[in-house]
Amino acid sequence: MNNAGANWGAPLADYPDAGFAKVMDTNLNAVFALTRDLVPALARAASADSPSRIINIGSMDGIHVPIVQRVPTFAYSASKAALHHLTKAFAVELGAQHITANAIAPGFFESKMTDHVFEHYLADIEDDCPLHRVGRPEEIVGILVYLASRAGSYTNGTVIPVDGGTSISKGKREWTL
Amino acid sequence: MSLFSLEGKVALITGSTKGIGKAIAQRMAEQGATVVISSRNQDACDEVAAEITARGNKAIGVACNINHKDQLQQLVEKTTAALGKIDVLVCNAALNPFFGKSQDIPDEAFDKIMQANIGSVHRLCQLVIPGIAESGGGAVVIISSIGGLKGTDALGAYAISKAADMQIARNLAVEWGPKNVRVNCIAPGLVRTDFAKALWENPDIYAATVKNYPLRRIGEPDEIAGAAVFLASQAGSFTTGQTLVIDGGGTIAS
Repeated sequence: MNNAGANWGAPLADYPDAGFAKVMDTNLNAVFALTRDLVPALARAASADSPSRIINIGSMDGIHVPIVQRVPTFAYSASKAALHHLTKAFAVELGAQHITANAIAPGFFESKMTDHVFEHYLADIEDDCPLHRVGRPEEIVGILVYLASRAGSYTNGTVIPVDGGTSISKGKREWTL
Repeated sequence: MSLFSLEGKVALITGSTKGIGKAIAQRMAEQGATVVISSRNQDACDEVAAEITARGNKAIGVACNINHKDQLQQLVEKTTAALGKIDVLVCNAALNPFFGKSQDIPDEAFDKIMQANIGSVHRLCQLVIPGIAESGGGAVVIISSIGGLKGTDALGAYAISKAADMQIARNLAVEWGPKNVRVNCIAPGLVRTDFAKALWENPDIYAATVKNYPLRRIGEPDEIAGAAVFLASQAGSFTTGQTLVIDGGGTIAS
C-alpha cells in the first residue's frame, strides 16, 4: 500500500522547481520504483483465487480542482492524477500475474496535511460536500479492508473517491456566484 | 463492531432470487441485516428467504413486479409493516429484451427498458428514501453496468439505462446527502449469472471478452456482493454519488 505523500503550496509565479520535483518524487516516482521492485514478491504470493493487491492513495484533487480557494498545490494535483493513471497501467500490466491495482481518492480528512486548510476554510469545505462534513479516519480504513480482502478480488484498475460526494457535486457556492 | 456490520439494519433488494441480487442478499444477511427478497414470483422469493433463514440469518420474501408503481408501493408498505423501517435499498432488478443495433430496436423494447431500468429505480427511490432519511440515514445501492461507460452497437438502449443509473446516483447523493442518505452505483463487468448467460456460455464470446480483462476471467456474483456490503455499511459512510467499477480491469484496459 503506497500511502506516503507530500505537498507543496505556493502561488504559480513563485512555485519553485525544487518544490514541484520533491512532490513528484515522493507521490509518483517513489511509488513507481517501489512497486516495480516488489512485483516479483507480489507475484510469488498470488493465485487466481487470491490475487495480490497494490493499493495507492490518490486524491480527490487528482480528479477535479476543488472549488475551495486556498494556496494552489500544482504538483500535488498533478502527481495524484498521474498516480491514478499509473494505477490503471499497473492493473493492465499485472493482471495476468494475478496482481490487482487500485487507488483510493480521499477528499478532506483530518490530518497534519489538512490542519492549515481547515483552520481557514472548514466552512467552505463542508459547504461543497453533500454530506456536509469532513471524513473520519475509519472511513478510509473500510475501503482498504474491502480492497485487500476476498470481497475486492475482482475489483481492478479503479480509482475510488471517498470524499462525501464532493467531486461529483457542483458545489453549493457555485450556484450563488 | 466490524466496520462492515449491518446488524439491526433492514435491507430491501430487488431482483434478489438469482445472480448478483441473491449474492448481495446472502452476504448482507451474513453481516446481520434482515433482508427482503424480491422478484416477480412469490414462491421464488420464499425459497431464497428460506435458504437464508436456514443458515440462521434473517430474511422475508415479498413479490413485486417493478414495472408497476402500485406494486412498488405495496413492496415498501409490506416491508415496513413487517420490519418497521428500511435502512438499505439495493436497486438490482433490470432487464434487457433486445440485442442488436440502436437502428433496429422496436419502440416497445426501448420503452420497456427505460421503464424497468430507470423508471422503477427513480420511483422506488422516491418511495423509500424519505423513510431512510427519517430514521437517521442509510444507503441506496444501484446496480448499473460497465455498459453505461462506453459506446456499443449491440446493447444501446440497455447501456443508456445503465448510464442513467450513474446520474441518478449523483443527483440523489446531492439531494439527500444533507439528510445522511448516501447513494452509489456498482458497475459490474461480465458476471456469471443467468442474466448474462448468452454472453459467457458461448465460448467465442467468452474468450473474446476475457482476452481484454486483465484478470483473464469473468466475475462471480460474490465479487459484486462485497462491494454492496461496503457501500451499505459504516465502512462506506463517506462514499456517496460514486460508481464503483468491478470488472477485473476490463474497462481501463481497452
